[in-house]
Amino acid sequence: MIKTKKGQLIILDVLFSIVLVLLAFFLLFKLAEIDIYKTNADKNIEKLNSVGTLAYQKLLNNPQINCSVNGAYVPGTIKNTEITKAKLGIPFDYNCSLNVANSTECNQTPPGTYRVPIFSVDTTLVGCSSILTKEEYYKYILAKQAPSTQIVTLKIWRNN
Amino acid sequence: MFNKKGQLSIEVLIILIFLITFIYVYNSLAEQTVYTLEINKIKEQQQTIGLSLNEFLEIQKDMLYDVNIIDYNSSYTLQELKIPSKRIFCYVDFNLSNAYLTVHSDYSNVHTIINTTITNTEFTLPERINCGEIVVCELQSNKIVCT
Repeated sequence: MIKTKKGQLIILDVLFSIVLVLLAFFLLFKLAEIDIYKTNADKNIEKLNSVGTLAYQKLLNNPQINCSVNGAYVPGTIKNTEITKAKLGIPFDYNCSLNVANSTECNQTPPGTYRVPIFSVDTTLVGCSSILTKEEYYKYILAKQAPSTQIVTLKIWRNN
Repeated sequence: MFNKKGQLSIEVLIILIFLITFIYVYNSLAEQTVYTLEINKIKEQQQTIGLSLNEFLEIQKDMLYDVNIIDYNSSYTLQELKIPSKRIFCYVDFNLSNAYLTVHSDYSNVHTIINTTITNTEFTLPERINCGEIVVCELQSNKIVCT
């Protein structure tokens, strides 16, 4: 449309600058998208950690699970009772795996894919029928002869 | 139209149109970016508020099953929801029959749902708790009553 060399040159400059600005916008959009994706992923990890930490805490310190000595509950002990997700404070949208005999609800197989984050913690628990005797308790505390110690792995992940 | 003076006018016009478009697009983009960032920040804080309240209530539940405890109370202050420009009003309400709590905010109806395992049989909770308020839970005849 503009026939002079000068005119064509200026129009081309403007067109180039428009293209460059558009490219910069697209780059900014992509960066913002990546940032939002990262924030959402971080939120899911934070939630999983919160659920996992609470479950771990409730596994170790829970009158519904712990053995008692003269009525006092001993942290880190596990009596022969059913362990449910509710007792560990795990909501229905999370699955769990716990390698003890009475964890009927926490017996799912963890997903093998790396895309699903899994909260995992190993801990040592002391088993008992329901009540520890004083003698057993002292042995446990003094670590002389811990009665039926077992290493337990608690794994928690979100349902897909 | 095609003389030098005319060409200059068209170039200036094109540049002006470009500048106006640029400013408009940039302004819209900036507004959208700020809005998205604020929503993300609010969602993040809502999740923290919901999870920490859920954790507090879950720990209270243990008191029900400890036969040694007959008298107990505990309090927790809900954190407030803030973004750099202002403080946002928010509150938490409970749906214990379906086992979840919702953190609401006064910002574009943004809310966050947190699933829980607390039930009606174990807890009596207020209809809503505003952010910044103190929740007091007491053990009353085999139930945790929070006000």
